Amino acid sequence: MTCRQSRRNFLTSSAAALSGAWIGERNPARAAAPASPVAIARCRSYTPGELLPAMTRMFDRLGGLARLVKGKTVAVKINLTGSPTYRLHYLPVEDTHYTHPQVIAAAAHLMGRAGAKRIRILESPWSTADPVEEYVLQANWEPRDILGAAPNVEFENTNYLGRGKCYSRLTVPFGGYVYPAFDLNHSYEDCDVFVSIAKMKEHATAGVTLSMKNCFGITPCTIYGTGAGIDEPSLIPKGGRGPIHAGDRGPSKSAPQELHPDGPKRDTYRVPRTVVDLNAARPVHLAIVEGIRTMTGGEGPWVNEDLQAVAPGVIVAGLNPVCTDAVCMAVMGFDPLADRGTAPFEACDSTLKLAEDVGLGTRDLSRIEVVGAGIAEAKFDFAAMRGKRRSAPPQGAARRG
Amino acid sequence: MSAATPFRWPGSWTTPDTVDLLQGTAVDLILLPEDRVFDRVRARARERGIASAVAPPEGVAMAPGAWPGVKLSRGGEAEFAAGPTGVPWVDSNGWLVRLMRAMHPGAAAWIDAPPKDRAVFPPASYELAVADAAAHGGRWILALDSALASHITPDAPAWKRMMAAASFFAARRAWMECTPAATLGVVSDFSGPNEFMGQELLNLVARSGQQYRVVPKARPDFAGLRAILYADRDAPSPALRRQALAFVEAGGLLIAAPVWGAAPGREVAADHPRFALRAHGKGRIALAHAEPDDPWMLANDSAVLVSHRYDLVRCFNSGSFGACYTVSPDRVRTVVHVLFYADRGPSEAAIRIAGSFRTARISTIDRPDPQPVRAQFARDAVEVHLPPVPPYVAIELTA
Repeated sequence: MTCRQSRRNFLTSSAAALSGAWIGERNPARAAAPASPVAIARCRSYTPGELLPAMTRMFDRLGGLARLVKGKTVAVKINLTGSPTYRLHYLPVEDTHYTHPQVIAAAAHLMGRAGAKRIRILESPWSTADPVEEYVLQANWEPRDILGAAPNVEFENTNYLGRGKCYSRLTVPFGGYVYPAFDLNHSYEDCDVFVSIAKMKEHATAGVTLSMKNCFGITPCTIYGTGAGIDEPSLIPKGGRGPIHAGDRGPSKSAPQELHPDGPKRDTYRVPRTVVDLNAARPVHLAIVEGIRTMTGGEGPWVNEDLQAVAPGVIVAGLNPVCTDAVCMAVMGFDPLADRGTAPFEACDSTLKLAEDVGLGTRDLSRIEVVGAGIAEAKFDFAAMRGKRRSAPPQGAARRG
Repeated sequence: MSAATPFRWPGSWTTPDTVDLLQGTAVDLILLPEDRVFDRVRARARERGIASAVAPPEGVAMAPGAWPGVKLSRGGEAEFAAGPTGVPWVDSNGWLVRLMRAMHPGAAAWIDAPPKDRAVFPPASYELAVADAAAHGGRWILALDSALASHITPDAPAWKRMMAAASFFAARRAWMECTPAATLGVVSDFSGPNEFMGQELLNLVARSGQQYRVVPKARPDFAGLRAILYADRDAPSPALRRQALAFVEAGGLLIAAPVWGAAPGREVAADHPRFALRAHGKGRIALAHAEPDDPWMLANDSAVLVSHRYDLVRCFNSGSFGACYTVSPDRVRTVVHVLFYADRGPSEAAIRIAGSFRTARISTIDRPDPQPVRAQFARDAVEVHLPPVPPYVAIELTA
């Protein structure tokens, strides 16, 4: 079920479609892509005694959380990619590829302290309409640690209609690379502030997954997933977002269709562009990327690489996701100005470049003020590990499952 | 209760020397037709101290089962058939063993599921067939696929693994006295119009990772459960209703369909699309808005209504698995049977088992003596980190 499009939405999307066509030929937005400060904090552990002061300092350096969240409904997209029972070796998912619950709780706590009216923790967990609380319990998490971190904290599973009466249509102001607009769970419209809390990781398809790529998961699989309904959204999500990757079928007909159905079907082309479309449709006000403990080689244990659990001991935050991701890339040892053909974008397009091209934010470090710890001090060289890994002889059989 | 290890005699084995294959195995009963062509086989078996019979002896409940494992699609052996959620479909006889044991207390539960209708039966699948029934306190009637029967040697890998598995469980008869621990009781008469939903629920509740108890409607026992699921299409008797409501008043959860009728208590806010919640006494009643017709959805709904907080077993990196959490009569020893249905065990699985334990050891059919295992002990659970294991592993824990 999708709500009828409002006149305002229609006008916005029509104008955006026109401007998008124009952007394709000339690109005045690129030079003017906004720059915004990015804070880096060193943090060796998830113990609240170390984490809370580190995050507090980081937010203070960005102008304080109160300015952003006081009296507001804050939606927080976290990253729970893959099944909660699929681990890298024996390690808990939060130590490798899930946003750590202590970081989520700390962010909620600080937002509550800064006067947030309501804090809504959002994720579209793998192939289920179950409550997020039930999903994370299967990872051995205690959801009460997050729910009790501040007043009025709640979860919502956004992989389907959820608690809304209809899906919200959010248009892509610049017209869109792949999609002109998205039908999303109401939570992404019914908020004043939108926060992306991501894990600092490489990504098999998109090179890196940081605050922008985290938003790939705001798409409900009832519309955009393998088991999506043909005409209308399915009631419950089944499977993953294969159709967005492969372009082998469109979203449910009730939702806005792709701009170029005959366009390239490669996931390395489609995923970065879709991520930019999503970030434009649902702008991120606060981007937080945690790399206290994480993994190298890919976004989850299913990736066919020599994956390693690592402890970079760093958190990055900013008010612009492109700038934040650019600083993250530098911390990871990559060049944020890299384009297709250069690590980590050897085989894919750069989400950052595509975002910069449409004016979402700059990836040029010379234009970004870095506050807190410096990039050199915080650097953990994912790039060097990637180079070493890729120069090594091929591995044996993959460990997928 | 019969403690025999039964073997379905292949029809092509008519010479008495084939009985010698059973020497040193756990088999102590062969099932074969009355046909006189087997007279010499029967005689040789008698000489070897092995009983023979046409049908299971008194005290045995037998039912036809399925060949356990991840079901392969009709399109080809290499493709897995998908279940309702896109996850692989798993066949298991565990629920059937549990049902037979509940419906026929005191009887041994035997599963008759000879290998057929597949092109290949890997040796590990024989081990799995034995373990799948035995883990739940039953016995699979050992049987051979026709290709194996016609080319049998004592060293055939499938034969060796099947017989090793049979010996493993025959040597652990005390495990059959252990009681399954459960959070959810499935209440039904499991017959007539309730046969499909009741039995399919048992199968799928297990697939949803829940530890369950079969509760025959005629003999309801809710002791120790957190929740009961009333699965039948007819209203409960007044006595059953009273007992169920007493269970709720004491803090339990009743999950029921509209056929249950009016429920006492006050309505509480619920976010569930298919159930309304009522508070009654210290517990809750979850009443479905409509009569459930999809046992998979109902099984998964029950897992969420009960809450994964109370999972007795969680498996990580395990693929398609089944687990049976059992406790010894003196409650000192816990044995958790874990089955990996892909015919091949995982290399880095972790199993979280709820409860307070001091020691953990594992045994497998190829390494039957209990081995130490890496484990992280917490106040309310232990997480066991399994080394590479075959399709079946027993985790033995002491409180």
